[in-house]
Formats: sequence, structure tokens, C-alpha cells
Amino acid sequence: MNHREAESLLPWLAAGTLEAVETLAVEAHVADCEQCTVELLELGNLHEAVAAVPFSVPVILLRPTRAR
Amino acid sequence: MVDTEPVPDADIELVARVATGDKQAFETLFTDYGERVFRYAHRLIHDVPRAEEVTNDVMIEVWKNAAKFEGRSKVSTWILGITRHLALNAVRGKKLDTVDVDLAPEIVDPSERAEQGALADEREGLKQKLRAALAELSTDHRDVIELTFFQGCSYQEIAAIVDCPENTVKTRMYHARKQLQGILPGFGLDAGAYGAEGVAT
Repeated sequence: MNHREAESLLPWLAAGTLEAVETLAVEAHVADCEQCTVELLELGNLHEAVAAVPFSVPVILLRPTRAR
Repeated sequence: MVDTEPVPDADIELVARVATGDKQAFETLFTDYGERVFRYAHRLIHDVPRAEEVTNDVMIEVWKNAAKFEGRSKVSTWILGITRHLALNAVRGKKLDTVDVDLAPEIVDPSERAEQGALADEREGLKQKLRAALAELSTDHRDVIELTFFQGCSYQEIAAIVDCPENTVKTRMYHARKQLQGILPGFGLDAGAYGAEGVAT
């Protein structure tokens, strides 16, 4: 896998949603690529921040609406 | 993966039961997906009451169209696709250039926060800035970020949800990342270590 392909898949490597074959290929590239290593760290922070957005789940979701 | 993904086969079976008019199955589906649908709708709409309306509309669409679901995608992909469609319809004509991050109360244990100290406050501040930066992205770009990092979707699933080629998903992600880097270099890393001047505001 070349740099461009690997870089384009980094977000899904950070999110843990790449398929196994792609995961191995991207990880192999990252191991030898300083730029991708830094980007992967940044994307890890992005993942954490996006996932941490606070929400209060509306009461409505605790009481399912009856199908009409 | 952020959320615990239900077993796909079980979900397909659940939708099949919904298609026969099984209300118990519908309630189970609502319990499993209602919160995900609401969160995704809220991220597109930034309005709790309207996101609730969209959530109910989505589940009604699921109820009405369950028989049409052919199982060619994951149930989550199908439901999030419906959510996106209805949420974007709901915001059509409404300019969403800001996001109120205080819209919902923050779920933070005060005692835990005190223990975390200044470092945690700093990280929380960066998260707040990042969330504000996300609000500056176009809907297409924010969508791919949020489906990836919040909904835990693969790029293939995102392509199915937003109905575009997989390469378009990757391209949108690339531009979204570059835009975010311009707003907030490093997403909280030590920006100085990489030649940046600091966190933009």
C-alpha cells in the first residue's frame, strides 16, 4: 500500500472500522512513515473529542413511541 | 467503534418481524437504535426538539418500510441513511453556521473532574474548540467525520448512507481533516512540535 492510499484510510484505522486486511496494510505503512504516525495521533484525538460530545438523551427515547 | 454494534443477523431478523407488524420487535429496534438515531439527527440539526421529531419520523419510516428492507446492507446503515435523509429535509432552508454546545447539559461527574485537575480542563477546552470547529464544516464534511468517529461507520457504510462512491467519502474526509487542521492544528497535540504557531481561535 502506498502512502496516499494509507493516508486516506487513517481515519478509519483510528476509529477501528477498517477491515482486517486493510488494517494490517495501513499499520505496516504507518510503522515506517513519520507523517502518518503523527496524523494517526491527531486522528486519535479527533476521535476522542468527537465521541465525547455531551448529550442528554431525551426522555422520549426512554419511552419508545408506539408504531402508528 | 464507539457504539456496541448489535449482531447484524439478529437485527435483520428483527426488521423482518417488524415487517409483519410485530410491535414488540419494533420497540426492541427503537431501544437498540433510538439513541443513535437521535444523536445523529441532533448532529445534523443542532436542535433537540427537532431531532426528537426526526427520530420519531425515522422510526415511523422504519415501521412503514420494514418490508422493503432486503438485507443488502447492515440495518444500522439503512436506518442511519433514513435518518440523514429526514434530518437534511428538516434543516433544508435553515442556515446552520453555528452550534450551541451548551444546548444539552454536559454529563461530567464533578468529583471526577476535580481529580483530573488542570490537565483535564485543558483537554476539555480543546474538545470544546474542536466541537466548535466541527460546526464550521460543511454538512457533507461534518457528516463523514461524525459517521466515522461518532457512529463508528466504515467508509463503505458511509458511502451507502450518504449515497456516494467510496472514493468520495475518502475525499470528503481528506478535505474535512485539512479544514480542521487549519482551524485547530494538531487536534490538541503539542502544535509547537510540528511547526505550528498554536491553536487558532
